[in-house]
Amino acid sequence: MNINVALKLLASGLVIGSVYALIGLSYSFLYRGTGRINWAQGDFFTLGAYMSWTIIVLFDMPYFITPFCVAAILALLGLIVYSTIVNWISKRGGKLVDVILATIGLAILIENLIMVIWGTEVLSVPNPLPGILKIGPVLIPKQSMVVLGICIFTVVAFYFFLQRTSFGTAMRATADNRYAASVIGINIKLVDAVTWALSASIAGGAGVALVPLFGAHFYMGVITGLKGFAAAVVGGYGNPWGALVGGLLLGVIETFGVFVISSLWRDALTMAVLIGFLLFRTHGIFRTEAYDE
Amino acid sequence: MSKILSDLNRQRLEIYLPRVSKPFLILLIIFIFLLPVITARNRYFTLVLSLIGIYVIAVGGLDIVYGFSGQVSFGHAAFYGIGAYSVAILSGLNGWSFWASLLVGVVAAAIFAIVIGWPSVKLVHHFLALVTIGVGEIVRLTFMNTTDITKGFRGIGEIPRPSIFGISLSNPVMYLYLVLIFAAVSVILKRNIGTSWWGRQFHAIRTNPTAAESFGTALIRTRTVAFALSAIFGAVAGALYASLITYVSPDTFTFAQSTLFFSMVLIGGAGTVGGSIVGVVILTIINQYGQQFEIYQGIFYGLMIIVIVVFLPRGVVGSLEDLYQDHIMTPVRRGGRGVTIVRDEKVSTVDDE
Repeated sequence: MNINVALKLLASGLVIGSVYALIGLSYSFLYRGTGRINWAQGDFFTLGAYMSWTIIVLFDMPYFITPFCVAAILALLGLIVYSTIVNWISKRGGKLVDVILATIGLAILIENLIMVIWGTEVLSVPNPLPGILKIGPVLIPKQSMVVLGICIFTVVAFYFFLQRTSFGTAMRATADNRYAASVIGINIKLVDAVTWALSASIAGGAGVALVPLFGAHFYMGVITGLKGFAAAVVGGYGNPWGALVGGLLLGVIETFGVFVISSLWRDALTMAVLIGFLLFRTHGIFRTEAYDE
Repeated sequence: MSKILSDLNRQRLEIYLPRVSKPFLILLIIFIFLLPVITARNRYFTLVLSLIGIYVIAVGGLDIVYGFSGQVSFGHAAFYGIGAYSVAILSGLNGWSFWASLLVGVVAAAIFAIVIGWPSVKLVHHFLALVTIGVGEIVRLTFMNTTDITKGFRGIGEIPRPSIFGISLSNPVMYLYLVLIFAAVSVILKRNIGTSWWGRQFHAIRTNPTAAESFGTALIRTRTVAFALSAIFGAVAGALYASLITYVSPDTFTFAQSTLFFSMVLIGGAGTVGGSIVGVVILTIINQYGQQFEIYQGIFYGLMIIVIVVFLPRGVVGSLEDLYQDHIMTPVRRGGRGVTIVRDEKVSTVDDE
C-alpha cells in the first residue's frame, strides 16, 4: 500500500466516520442527558435522508434550507416519542430495557412506514456541491468535505452548548443527579424533552449530510445506526468528543479493513472492534463515568 | 444458601410457575398429539405446526436468559444458526447421522455461548444486548463468507430427515411428532429449570443482583450458565429446523430472526411457562397469514411490540396470571390483610436512575 492509496482511504474513512460520529453523538447526548437509549436513532437518520429527498427533489427547494426543515421535523418527532412511549413507560415504573425494546418496535415501525411511503429503491439527490478538491495527491469530492465539516461543527457546537450555556449546565446537572437537580429548581421534564428533540435532530442532520453522496434507502439506518452506537461506545459513551473520535476511528478502521481484507467482512469488522472495546476497555477511549452502575 | 434462596423465592415462584391440574394437562397432551392426525391431510398446516414446535424450543431457551435471569440477548439466531448449520454440514454434506450432528451442534453452541458469555455478562445489561447483536451479525457473515464450508449465500440443500430405531421420519407427520416430543420435553425442562437450584439463582440475580451476590450467588457464573442453557435450546431448535426445511441459508439467521424470537417471549410473557408457547402461536399465525399484506405486516408488527412493552409488560400469559392470582384464586390476599403480593415492577432494582 503506497502513501497515495493510504491517504485516499484515510479521506474516505473520515467521511464515513463523521456520519458514524454524528449518530454516535445523538446516542451519547441522549444518554448523557436522560439516561435513556433510543434504538430508533438509526431510523431517524434514514428519515432525515428521505425528508431531504422529499424537500429537494419533490418540493424543488434549495439544499441549504433542508437541514433546518429536517431538524425541525425530527425534533418534533423526538418530542412525540418522548411524550408518548417514554413517558408512558416511566409512568408505570418501566426500566431502561423497556425503553430499548419499545424503541426497537418503533424502529421496525419506521422502516416499514418508509417502505410504504417512499418505496424500496434507492432515491438519489443531486449533489449541491459538485466538483473535486485537490489536496496534494488526494482527490476529495467537495460534498465529503462538507459532511466532515458539518460533523466537526456539530460536535464543537454541542460541546459549547453543554459547557457554556445555562441550559447546557442544567442538562449536565440533570445527568449527574436528577433528584438534586430537581431540588434546586431545574425543570427535569423540560430538560428531558429538549434532549430527546435535539438528539433526534442530530440523527436527522446526519441523514441530510450523507444523502447527496449515497442516496436514501429504507434499510440504511439499521446498520449505520448500530455503527453509530458502536462509535459512541468506542469513544466513551456519553462524551461528545468520544463520539467524534470513536466515529472517525471506526470509519478509518472500516475503510482500511475493507481494503486489506475484503468488503464481505465490513460489518463483522466493526462488530469485532465494538466487542473488543466492550470487553477490554468498557469505558471507551475517553474514560467516561456516564454509566457506572 | 440454597435453603435461604428457596425460602425467599417460594412464594414468588408459585406465582410464576403454577402447577397445572393433572386432568387438564392430560387432556392438553392428548389434544396436542391428536393435532397432527387432524391436520395430516394438509401439508401446509403440518409444516406450520412443526415450525411452531421448533420456535417453542428456541423461544423457551431465550426465556431462560431474559425471563429467568433478566439479561437481554438479541443474538439468539446465532445459536439457532449454529445448530442448523452443524446438521446441514455434518449430516447433509458429510453423511453423518442426524443425532451425532445434533450433539455436535449443541456442544458447539454451548461452548460458543460460554466463550462469548463469560467475559460479556459482567457488562451492564444493555451493553450485553449490543454484544449479542454484534455476535449475531458476525456469525451470519461467517455463514455467508466461508464459502468452501457453508456454500455461502446459496445455502446447503438436501439435508436428510433423521431416523430413529430404524424408523425413517421422512414423512412430515412423523417428523412433526418428533418435533412435538422435543418441544414438550423442552417446556417441561424449562419449567423444572425455573424451580431448580439454578432457577432460583436466576430469579435472584434478575430481581436484585446486588442482594443475590451478597447472599453468595456467583453472578458471572450464574449468568453464563443461563446464557449457555439458552444456546443449547437454540441449537436444538436450529438442528430440527434444518432437517424440517431440508435447506439452510444465511438469510434465515438474521437480526430480524432474533427480534422475532424476542418479540415472541415478550408477547407471551417473559418468565412464564405458557408464555413462550402462546407468544409463538400468536406470532407464527400472524406471520403466516400476514404474508398476503406484505409491507403492512411490518407496521403492525412494530406497533404490536410498542403496545405490548408499554401496556402489557408481563405479556399475555403473565397478565392473565396476575388477573387469576389477584381476583380469582386469592381475593382475600388483596390489600390490608397482611399479605401483599409483590409484583415484579414494584420491586426496586438497581437498573435505572
